[in-house]
Amino acid sequence: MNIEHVKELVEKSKNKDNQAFGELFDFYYPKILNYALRSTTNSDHAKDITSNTFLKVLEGLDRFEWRNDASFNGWIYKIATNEISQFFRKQKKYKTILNIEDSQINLSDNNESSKAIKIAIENNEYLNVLNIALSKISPIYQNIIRLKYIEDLSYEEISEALNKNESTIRVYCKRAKEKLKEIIESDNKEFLEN
Amino acid sequence: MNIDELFQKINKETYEPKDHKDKLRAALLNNKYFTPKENNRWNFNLAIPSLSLSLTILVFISAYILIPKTTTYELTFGEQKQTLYNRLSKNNNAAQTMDQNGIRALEIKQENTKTTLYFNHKNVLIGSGVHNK
Repeated sequence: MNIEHVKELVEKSKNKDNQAFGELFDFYYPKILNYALRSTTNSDHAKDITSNTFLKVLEGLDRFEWRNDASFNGWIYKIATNEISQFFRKQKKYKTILNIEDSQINLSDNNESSKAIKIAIENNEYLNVLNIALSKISPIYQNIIRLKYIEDLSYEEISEALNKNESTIRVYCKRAKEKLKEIIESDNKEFLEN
Repeated sequence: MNIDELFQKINKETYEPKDHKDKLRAALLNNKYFTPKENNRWNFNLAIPSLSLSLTILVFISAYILIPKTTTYELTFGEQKQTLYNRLSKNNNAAQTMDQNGIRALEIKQENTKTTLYFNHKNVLIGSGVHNK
């Protein structure tokens, strides 16, 4: 979907056109759900995060303003990132954080599609290696790595999503990647050699 | 394998749990955000009784403000009469008498005439007469 069409749908949605919002939802639903799924590796949590994200999009839509072409994409990922961060904070608060392997075993959704997602995510050893390494760096670096290298957002969009200027994001991104590389190389020598 | 290759190998296949997507979609599209017209109509209907109530309150307030003004006017009027009685009764050519009903007569003598003014117990002028001496 090109940016002009997104702009048109956003304006129509602001004018209470629910069909236009439906089209925006269809476009962004898989992006947000999979962003949450790759971050939490838990389909139930990913669904909750996705639901909350879209409800907040609707609540804030009247206040949303375009500053540049990256604004809407950045804004929607900002809401999703906040929801994911809130999820991890809650996990920490109730001392159930995330041993990633444990969280995968405790999936309660018996739905067939959720089972398929669970299996696919659990079996993605590359994602598990990345998530374990990411859990060892600061939250801001985690967010930048996820948004840049996993979700393929531009620096401009990440800048919108994380409320930092673009040059700061570029510097942070370089540092985050170096830090992550260091951790992965020291923790996963054998894995990387295979 | 370096870190860039690891990023490449992360499974970027997208999953869409249909049941969740459909339920969430329906909930969002039926959200009250998309029904502003009904809200406006409801608000408009509420505006009519609100306006009536406001007007009623305004009328009562106006009436309340007017009542003290009338009283003040009457008091002033009473004071003016009382002042008239007091002022005239102090004249040297004025004589007071009081009958059994409490009506006071004030006789003011001038060169060829005698003016009698009658006041009630509140010193309000209730009648007058002029006589030749």
